[in-house]
Amino acid sequence: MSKLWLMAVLIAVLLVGASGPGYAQTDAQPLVIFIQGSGLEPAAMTDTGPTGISGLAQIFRNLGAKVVYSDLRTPLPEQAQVVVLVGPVRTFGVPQIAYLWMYLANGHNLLFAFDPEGAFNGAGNVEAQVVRSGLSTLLEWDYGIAISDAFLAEPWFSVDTISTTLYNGMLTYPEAVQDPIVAPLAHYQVPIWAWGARHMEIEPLSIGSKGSPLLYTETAYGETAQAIFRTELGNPVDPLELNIGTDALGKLNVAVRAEQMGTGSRIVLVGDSEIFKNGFGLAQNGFTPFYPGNQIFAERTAAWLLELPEEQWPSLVPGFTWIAIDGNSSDWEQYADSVTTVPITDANIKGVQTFADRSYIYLLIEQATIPERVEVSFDLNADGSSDTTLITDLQQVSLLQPDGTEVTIADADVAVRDVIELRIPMRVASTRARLNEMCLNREGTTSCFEIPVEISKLRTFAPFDFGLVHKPLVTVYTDEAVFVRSEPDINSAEVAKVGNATTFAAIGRDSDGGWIRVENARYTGWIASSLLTPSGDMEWLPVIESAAE
Amino acid sequence: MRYLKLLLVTNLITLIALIVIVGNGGSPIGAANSQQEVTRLDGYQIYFTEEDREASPFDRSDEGLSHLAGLLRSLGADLYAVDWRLGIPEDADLVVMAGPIRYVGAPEIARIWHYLNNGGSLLLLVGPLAPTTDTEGNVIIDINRSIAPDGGFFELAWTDYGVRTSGDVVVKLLSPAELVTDITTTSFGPDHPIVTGLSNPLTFFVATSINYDASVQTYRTTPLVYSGADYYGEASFGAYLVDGTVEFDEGIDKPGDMLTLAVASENLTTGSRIVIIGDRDFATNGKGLQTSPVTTAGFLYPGNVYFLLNTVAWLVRADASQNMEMIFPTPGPTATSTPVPTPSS
Repeated sequence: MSKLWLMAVLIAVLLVGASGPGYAQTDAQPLVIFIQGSGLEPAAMTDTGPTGISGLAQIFRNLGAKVVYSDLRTPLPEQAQVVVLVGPVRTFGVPQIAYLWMYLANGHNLLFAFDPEGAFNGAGNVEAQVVRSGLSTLLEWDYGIAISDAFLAEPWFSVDTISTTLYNGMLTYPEAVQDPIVAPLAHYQVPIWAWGARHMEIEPLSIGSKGSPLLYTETAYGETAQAIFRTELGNPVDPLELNIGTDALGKLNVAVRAEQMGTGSRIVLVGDSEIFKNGFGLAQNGFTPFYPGNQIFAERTAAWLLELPEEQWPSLVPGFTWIAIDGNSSDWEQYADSVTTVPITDANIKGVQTFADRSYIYLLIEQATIPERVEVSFDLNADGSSDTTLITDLQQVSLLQPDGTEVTIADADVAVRDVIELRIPMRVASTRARLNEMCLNREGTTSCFEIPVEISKLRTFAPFDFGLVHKPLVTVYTDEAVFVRSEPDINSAEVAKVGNATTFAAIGRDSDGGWIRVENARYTGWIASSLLTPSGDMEWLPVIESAAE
Repeated sequence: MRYLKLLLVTNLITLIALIVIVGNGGSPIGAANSQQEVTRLDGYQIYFTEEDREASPFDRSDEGLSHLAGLLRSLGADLYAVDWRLGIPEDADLVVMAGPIRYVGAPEIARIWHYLNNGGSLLLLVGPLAPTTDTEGNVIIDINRSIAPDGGFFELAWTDYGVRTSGDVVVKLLSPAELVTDITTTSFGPDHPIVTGLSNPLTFFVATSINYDASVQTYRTTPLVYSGADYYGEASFGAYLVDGTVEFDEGIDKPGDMLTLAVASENLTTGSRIVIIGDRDFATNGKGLQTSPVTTAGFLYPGNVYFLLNTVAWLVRADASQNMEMIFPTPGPTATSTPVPTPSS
């Protein structure tokens, strides 16, 4: 009897052992392998620090995958469904490329994020040589992807700022093409943050593969000069400047996906590793993502690579206001219990709804006929009179000035389809603002309505601060809170107190550069430049005369 | 008229002297100098690489491989060129890399390794020297750096097959300024289908020795051919090319006695097979598969022919029951150049 037991135990041990060391998994649980170590020194899934990618590993776990790490010193196990390689720093060797390609050519999937060559990451310069190593040749042959050896520089970047990853913050935008990975990001117009990126091109229909662009930038150019970064040997040699005819311009893709038709292999390439790093793109503010666009992009990329049916993909990140300004009221239904509904009895208007989150005021007008112009007035001090008036021609939104002129609010938005939807940055009104009056103009006739109601407040955030688009950025990186002041003067009134990592658009400076005029959806005012990390040279900002001067 | 007559004569010689296999076991024509059983290769798909200036099966010059290609075709094999952009087809029975002299990059190696990892076979001929151009544009002979012994290809080959080139040049020293690189040998390795039954000597022209690991591993590696004991592996042949002097350096050069010139290996996990021959010219029209007269099948080195055909048969796992006799006519006393008719002659 004991012999039988011994045999049974031995057989069980052999069966378990046959599944391979460390890779045991159930049939239902996909296996994901993160590459770390291996001489490439990529970001590690076991690193919970700011440059680690433990957050990305957790995303795969949340989708039901078993996640392990491996080096590329041996062939990758066949049972792995996805391999993740983020931010290799050292040069690819031939065996590593061969092992990676053997794996992909057998129909498996890859998430590969990589940085510009030479980029200074704090510890050293990136020398992955994705192009020169021959890896890019294989990507071009099999997936129709051509990787560029350029650094994407926003016009305001400088050689000083690009040598610090934190300063390289830039926005990339989801492609409008109907792609499952970025579809909700495009729908809600949520960009993805990157920190020092490179671009690539993809053939939508190549020989044997099909692909899609995922993220792009239009403002940055592809700097092809090589010696633009600081190195251990000293300061950069080449200037950071646009050279027409040499540097890439226009719409440049920062992330792409492709599928090999013959093998079924899927890959996602991302031209910046920080997009997925704990202290950058996947940074958390408590349990809430700091950059929801990056979180969603990472989650949906992982889901696509795991080949999950779309109904199993993660829903949008909670804690944010998911309203698309597209003239469609369907996404207001989720906030039905929270919005303020304004009772109006009029032939032209069927109803008005409004609410605010921490960054924006949202307004929905159900109209019988489409007006040519809408005016919305707010009471900012609860005295019953209108203090601020916004005007929209249904193309853009402007602020009516005391002298009767109109100033466009670039980060406000309006759309008309079934309904009229408006999104207004909170700084234009205030958190205490009440809706006061609305006027609709059509064919020369103006109809006005008194609508003195409180705007209900949600504790959610907008998924993105739209005031940061296409502008140089400054970010507060201090241990203590920083005051936004009404004037470039330490004795001027405090507009707000903001915390670490708050980002603003830089829109001007005082004459000696000691103060920067900043703006985001919530606040506008001045912050001492010494308290800010700029994404570029602030010298070129226009000098703004303060009211005090 | 004279031109036409010369052309007719040339074609006639070609017709009579070309390889004398007629169908399946057809009768040989002409006087035989060598006779041995070879395996038919009907339907096998053999791919040749050309991207890195390998000897080409479509090249009929001295540097080409058309003689080998003709032999393989006559045995029933189908021959193709590898398009690296598309990769190696899954139904390829064998890939032949006949002496690359330009750098074999990671993309090609990745393709090969994927193919091998799925049970493919590779015949690699890699010589230690290669023609290149100096700064003034003159063609010179230099060390072949297409597949470096310490590079990625042999890193993988050492791991998966226990084989790598040594980077030396196998030479026999006649004096400090005079050496011989030609090797004629009948020293075969133990018990391997490729060398079983070989009776003719093999001839190498400029060879590098091959290191192998025949210990118990997940691969089975077998040395196939050795040099004579009077040869050694000169590690500093590059210096010899520059200053013309050479000597055996103890501890640096590989001492003589059984330097391996060709190795076969089989990966027991994947079932893939490779054979590495340390001399590109072992199989070229103008050297190892040289015929005399040139447009006949009178091979000067029939041992090379049988060795190569056995190698291909082993690599593609050809059915040995389909063996047939192949007989070649006796070659002329010396190799002659191809007559080139010109209108003015």
